[in-house]
Amino acid sequence: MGMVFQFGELLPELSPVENVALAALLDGTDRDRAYGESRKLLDELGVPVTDTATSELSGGERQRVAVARALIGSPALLLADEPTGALDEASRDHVADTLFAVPAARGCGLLVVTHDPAVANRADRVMQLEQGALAGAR
Amino acid sequence: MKRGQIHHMLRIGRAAGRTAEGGRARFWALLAGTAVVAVTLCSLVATAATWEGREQRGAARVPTLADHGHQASALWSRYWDSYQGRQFTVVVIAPLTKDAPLPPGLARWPAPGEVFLSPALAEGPASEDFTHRYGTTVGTVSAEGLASPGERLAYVRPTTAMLGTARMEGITGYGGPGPVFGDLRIVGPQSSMMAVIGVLLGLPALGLAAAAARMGAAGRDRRDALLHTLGAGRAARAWMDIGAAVRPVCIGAALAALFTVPFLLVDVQLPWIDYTLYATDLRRVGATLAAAVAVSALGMLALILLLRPAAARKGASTRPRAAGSGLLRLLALGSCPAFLVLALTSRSFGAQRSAAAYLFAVVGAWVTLPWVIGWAASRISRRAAKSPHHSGAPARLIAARTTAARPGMVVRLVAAMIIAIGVIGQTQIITSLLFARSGDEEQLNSAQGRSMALVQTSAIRLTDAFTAALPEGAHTVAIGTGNIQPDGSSASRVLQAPCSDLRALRLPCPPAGQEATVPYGELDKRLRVSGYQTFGQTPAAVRTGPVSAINRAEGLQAVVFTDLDKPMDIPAVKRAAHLHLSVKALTEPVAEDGAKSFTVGYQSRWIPFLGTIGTLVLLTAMALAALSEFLRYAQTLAPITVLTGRSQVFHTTAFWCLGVPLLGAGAVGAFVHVVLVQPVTGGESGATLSWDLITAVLTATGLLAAAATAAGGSTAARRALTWRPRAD
Repeated sequence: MGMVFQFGELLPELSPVENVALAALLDGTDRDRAYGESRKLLDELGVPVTDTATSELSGGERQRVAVARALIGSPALLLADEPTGALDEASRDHVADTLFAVPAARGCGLLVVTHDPAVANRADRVMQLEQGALAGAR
Repeated sequence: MKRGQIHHMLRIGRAAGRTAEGGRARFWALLAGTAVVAVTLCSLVATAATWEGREQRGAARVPTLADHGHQASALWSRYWDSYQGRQFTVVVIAPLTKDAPLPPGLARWPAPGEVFLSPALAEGPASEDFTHRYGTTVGTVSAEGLASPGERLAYVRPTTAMLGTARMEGITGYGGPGPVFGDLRIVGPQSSMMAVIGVLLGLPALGLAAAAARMGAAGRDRRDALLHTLGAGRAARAWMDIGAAVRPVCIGAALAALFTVPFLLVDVQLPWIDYTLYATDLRRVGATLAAAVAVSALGMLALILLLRPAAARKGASTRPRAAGSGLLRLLALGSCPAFLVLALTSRSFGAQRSAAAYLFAVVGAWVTLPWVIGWAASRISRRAAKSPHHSGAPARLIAARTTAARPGMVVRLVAAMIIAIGVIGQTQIITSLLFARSGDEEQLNSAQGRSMALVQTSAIRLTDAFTAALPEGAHTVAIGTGNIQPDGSSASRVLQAPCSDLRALRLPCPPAGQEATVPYGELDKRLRVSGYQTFGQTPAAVRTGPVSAINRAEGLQAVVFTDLDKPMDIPAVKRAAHLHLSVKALTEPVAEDGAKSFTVGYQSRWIPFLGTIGTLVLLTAMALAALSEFLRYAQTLAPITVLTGRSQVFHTTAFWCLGVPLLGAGAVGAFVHVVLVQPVTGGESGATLSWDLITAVLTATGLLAAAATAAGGSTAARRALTWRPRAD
């Protein structure tokens, strides 16, 4: 299971590759494989693979790094909590494209919580959360 | 800014300070920092007041010698007696006229044979028998007559029979230009004490104040930067920072003031070092003490503003700073090696200047060293982060990146510890330097050293009363110079006594009118020590005869002794000599013999005393700095909890982030200490570097590193459990 938060929750001092590789390293993956997969994932998601600290990336780039980090363990299900809440329209679309392409490309489920109808409308199934309870499904 | 706006900013600052992360810890840190700075400043004021009062009272009791042809109103003289190897003055005085002015501190003229003692002597140990040593004690010298309340001083009026046994001066009153006596002859210069307080208390106080000012700085720096972006002026931000700090700073100052009050009301004896602060002296500078407290509060607020981050200043970038940026940092990095070079070359500046230059260089080197360590840690970390070895291990990768990005974290973490190593090291070095110039403690406390005393008196021969008053089993042998050379030196010592006394010292007993020569090496070892200064390694010419002056002009010198393994009642010998030979008879046990004074060693007790207080202050600063860093560290690591449920990574990262910098700083600190003491170690009167202390420092550093790792790791692991995603 992978998880993407509204504000990324990455370690700001680490480079994007390191942030993604960290998840694999903590999982026991060996160094070369962890860094190799991280670079590949970031490449796929369109994040430049440089030594720049994550804190210096734009909001959209940071979120894509967070998606990459969530995907590196090849999870069966990807959870995303307001992943586009803090982004401008262009970044939002870019991150949403990335996220919603994941199930088809990697064969995993995606569960997104969002306030944004434009994001919600991309989903196969939408459920409303009202007063803390699921109000209905369509 | 208008008054209303200022008030508003202060209020916002206060509210922000209360709710900020680590707000409560910062409150206590600022309170403690201000209080310690205030107490240090008050100590400096009290030192100045004590010296001034001591000199005033000392000058007021100096006798005015009667000029030739003038009528003297009293006879006056003084000599040194000693206690535990430390000298004190005994004033011998006798009025000649009915209206002779009283010496300061005496309620009335003592009658012949009566004595006034200072409280320190009157309350001295019973075994020393001060109350009977000089006659009958009838009262105490009051504080006006003493340089300081703890001074040992006696005013003795000899009996009529003993009055003529010593030379005395005619005097007309007091407060004249005559000879200064008592503690004033012994105490060191005020500047030395000020320097010792400045280094051992001032430096730690500054460290604590700086740690307190920068505690929880990350959040405030962010707030400052944000306010700056929103258009808040420098003044508005300053007022907010003041608002956040003003309460603890004022409470700290008030506590310091409360702490000072008892010292103004009663004479307080400082624990362990046996020194009494005179309340009257301190009351005289009451206003200055109040000002010192106020200055520390204002100084603390100024320090908070001064240590605000460079990023908040106009035109500066808000990006994370690279290691070594910032004027203060660059200055520190550049000057640390310069201070080291200055310390190592300070010897070539001449005695007085080299001491000042050395002190300046040592303080400078210790204060700037944390920045060098921070800079080095940051450089090493940046390289380590790129190495395959480190980048493959999550904890090492996080630690390397965090340290590289935040050199300030390492500086704050190690600063107090580095200064503590400096203070502890210098305390040991200065103490050993002073003890190297002081008498031998082992000799002072040895039983053998108390089994013989040298008595010097203007009397020509022993009196029966003296012999009768000696402790049981005591023998007496006269000692003097013989075979005097044209240059005035003596080629041998003469020992003269009846046969029974000579035999007690394992000396031969030649027939009357003959001499037996005993080589230096075969003399009783106490005799070799006792006469070494006068006679050197000369042989002894032993004569059988009465115990009387060998050279009549010099008066009688004799050794009084018991068996080697039987310590003698030295106070009884002193009493006998004073009461039955001469009022100014000097009695010096072998234990106290030597050109070296024990006073220096005694005075140097201030150094470990102040050093211990300073170290305690620094440990507090260190605990605060570490607490502050733990909180930040825990905050940084919390998001990792998203990636793993295991807490191992928090502990390992704590080891690399907190433990390793502390270990490294300890090793660097010990190394720098060893380098810095090179100019003052070695030689007969040089300081001795204690390798035991170095080992202790390294061990303590290891324990601290372990404690910091454990505390940091568990704080982060605990925080991670309750962590919730939030806006960064």
